[in-house]
Amino acid sequence: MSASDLLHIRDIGVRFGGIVAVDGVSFDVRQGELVGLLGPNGAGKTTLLRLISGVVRPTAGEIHFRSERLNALGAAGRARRGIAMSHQVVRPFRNMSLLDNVALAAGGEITRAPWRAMLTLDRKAWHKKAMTYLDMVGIGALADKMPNTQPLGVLKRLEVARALATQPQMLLLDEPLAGLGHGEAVRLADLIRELNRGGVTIVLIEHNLAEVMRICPRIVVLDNGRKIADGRAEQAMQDPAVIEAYLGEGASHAAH
Amino acid sequence: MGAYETSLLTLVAINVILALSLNLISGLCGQVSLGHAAFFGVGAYATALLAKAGLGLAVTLPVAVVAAGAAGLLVGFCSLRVRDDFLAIATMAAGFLFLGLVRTSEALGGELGISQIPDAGLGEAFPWFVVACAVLTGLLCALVKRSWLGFSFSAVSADEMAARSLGIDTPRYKLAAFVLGTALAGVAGCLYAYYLGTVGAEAFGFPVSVMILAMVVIGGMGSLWGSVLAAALLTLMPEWFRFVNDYKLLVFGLLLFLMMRFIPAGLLPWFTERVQRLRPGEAA
Repeated sequence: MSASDLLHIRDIGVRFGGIVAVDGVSFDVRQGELVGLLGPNGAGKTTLLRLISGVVRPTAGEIHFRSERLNALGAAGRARRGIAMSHQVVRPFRNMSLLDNVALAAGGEITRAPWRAMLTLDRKAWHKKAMTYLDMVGIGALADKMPNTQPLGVLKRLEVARALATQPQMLLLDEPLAGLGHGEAVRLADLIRELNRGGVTIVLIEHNLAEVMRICPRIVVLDNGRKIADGRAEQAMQDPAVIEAYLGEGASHAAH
Repeated sequence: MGAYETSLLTLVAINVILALSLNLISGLCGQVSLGHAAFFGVGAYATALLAKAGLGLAVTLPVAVVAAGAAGLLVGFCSLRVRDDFLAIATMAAGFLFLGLVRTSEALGGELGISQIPDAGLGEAFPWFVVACAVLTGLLCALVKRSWLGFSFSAVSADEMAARSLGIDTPRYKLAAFVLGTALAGVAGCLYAYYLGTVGAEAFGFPVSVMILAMVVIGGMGSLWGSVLAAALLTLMPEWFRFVNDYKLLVFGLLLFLMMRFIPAGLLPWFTERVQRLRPGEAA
């Protein structure tokens, strides 16, 4: 493991009952990288991202973040160490406004302990902070709206804003562009690249190959729970194993 | 105010504390408890024993709070870390366990319970003390709701997994809600023991747990004023209509079902929404 490795994964695996979802995957992510995680449906991409975020615990292998072993740490603990994840299916808190959704994420140091949370009444400072994140993803004007009244595109951005508000070292995005129109997808992809240039390390899953190839310098490809390619985007996509895994599903996408 | 009205007022205030305490757990934090009456009972029995031993309100009230909260901590710790829907079953089991314990224990008076509990020593002022306790409980709940604790509770009740991914330690928050709520039920228990002068197992059984839950659901999950109003309504109803008293569990169970089916938001939120719709200018 070199000093610049933020995330270090060795032979990680997980099985659900008899099904092996991720099998012996190893890869490292360096500080400041923007990595696209690709693969056909059912390849184990989301499971791998969840292994990193702590929603799923590995049954084999090792996972280190900034040289700390994470295997036994839950999702909340990993979030506090700087790993934020935006979900594939949007999960806003539907009983609070968009602004409150992000403010709660920004107030991580207050919510760390219940007694401290109870003694803190003020939300203004956090609303102000939350506003900057909502503006950053371009939905500042909708701050006071409730999630149920908003279209998917807005909620997708809310997911990203909320993950950003935790001020993560590493951002995990599960299909951030899925369900968005072309223009919206390009704008959000641009935002992701900007965030990365601003210093946030990002790993993302995305089926929109055109956008992935445009913004991700490096890609990792999974198939059937195994890693089949890892490297510079153009090179990895020319790998015969990748073409075979993708043929039919992705080849037409890539042609765009 | 006559003796009957004062007595009714005291009972309403005690039930308001109970409803508010469960609202903290079920309404604000989204954790369903079907055994809340047991913690009410822990407070009542603790008070009865200590009062019979000659100790005053200044000792019995804090001890009742701590005892009920400790029981809540124990039950919560064993059940909250497991699965989401496990708490409803675990709390119901805790309720029956409590009843079994009380019914078979010599020290707790067995089936007969504990009677001739000395009064609180407040004389005529006792009902007002109970009302003051209810008001303080309401203020505490309002504080919790406004604070970041309530903020986090609403996140936990909306989507636990999303809350965890923001770094919120959800089991700890659920436990905090459970301990706070059960400790407040201990306050109600203490006041109830003094109010009645006698405690018996049947006052803390499953029907009472259902009644408290009915108050929270009918008032509107998470709505403090809703809990207060529903507690008053459900306390007075059996007094006004005798038949309700005879079929308490049936009537409250039916009410609970009808509310969940037709007005899941609860009466007060439902009503305020109607009023706002009548005045579109203000709503916008």
